[in-house]
Amino acid sequence: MEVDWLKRIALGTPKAGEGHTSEHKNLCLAIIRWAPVPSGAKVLERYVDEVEKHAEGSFGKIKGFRYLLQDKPKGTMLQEGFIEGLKWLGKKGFVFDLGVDQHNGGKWQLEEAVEMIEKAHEGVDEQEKVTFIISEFSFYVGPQIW
Amino acid sequence: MFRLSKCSKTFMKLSGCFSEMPDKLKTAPADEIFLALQPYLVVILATFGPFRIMFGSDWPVCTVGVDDAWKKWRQIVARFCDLASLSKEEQIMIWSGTAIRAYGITELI
Repeated sequence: MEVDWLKRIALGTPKAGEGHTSEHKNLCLAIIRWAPVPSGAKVLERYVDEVEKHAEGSFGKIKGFRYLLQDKPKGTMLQEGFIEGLKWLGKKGFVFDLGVDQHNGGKWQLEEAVEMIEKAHEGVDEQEKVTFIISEFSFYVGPQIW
Repeated sequence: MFRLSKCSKTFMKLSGCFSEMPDKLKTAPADEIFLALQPYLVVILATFGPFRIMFGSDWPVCTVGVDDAWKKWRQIVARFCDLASLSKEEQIMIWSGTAIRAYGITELI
């Protein structure tokens, strides 16, 4: 569903009442959508193949994937499957949008994030290293000022 | 944050702020919110630098309980660029350049 809706935005073929027009497609330059990164490279590849089929002409605008980590248990981002998934994204030239939350989740999330990035880059050629977009600024905003 | 910024191929998106604020601050004028965030923005600027920072709105989550959230957040980031005396080039990076580079956007209109 997410893929279909984003496809309509990206290709400028809206359904009535969805709030965008065909001209808006020029405003949409990149799409980052959810993917089952923890399931490892194989499942991820199958999933992205399916996304490609559904997204059709809008697939080129999909520049990366996200998987929220702030509400997941400790160790999720360090699991073998997750690291494998991240490496796969890097190899395919997709970026990963990272959501961690130091404020509500705890400092360990930030520490694990550093370890995860190091693991995902370990032994990988520079151009195949996955790019991380740290997408939530909130994690840095500590409880002390609120 | 310093260790995170040392990792290669990492970028920081300036978003997701309103949802973490108490209601009182959320509804405060942009200047007041800017003052509250300033220390954190400074650390991010010092660690990541304008060439690895990008503007983000966290839309639509940012609109919950905030009037004119998009406009307000844009004002806060603009004020930050202004007060940090960022050059035109650095400001362009925050508003668009970093995102173009980080996401690898090639099909610009």
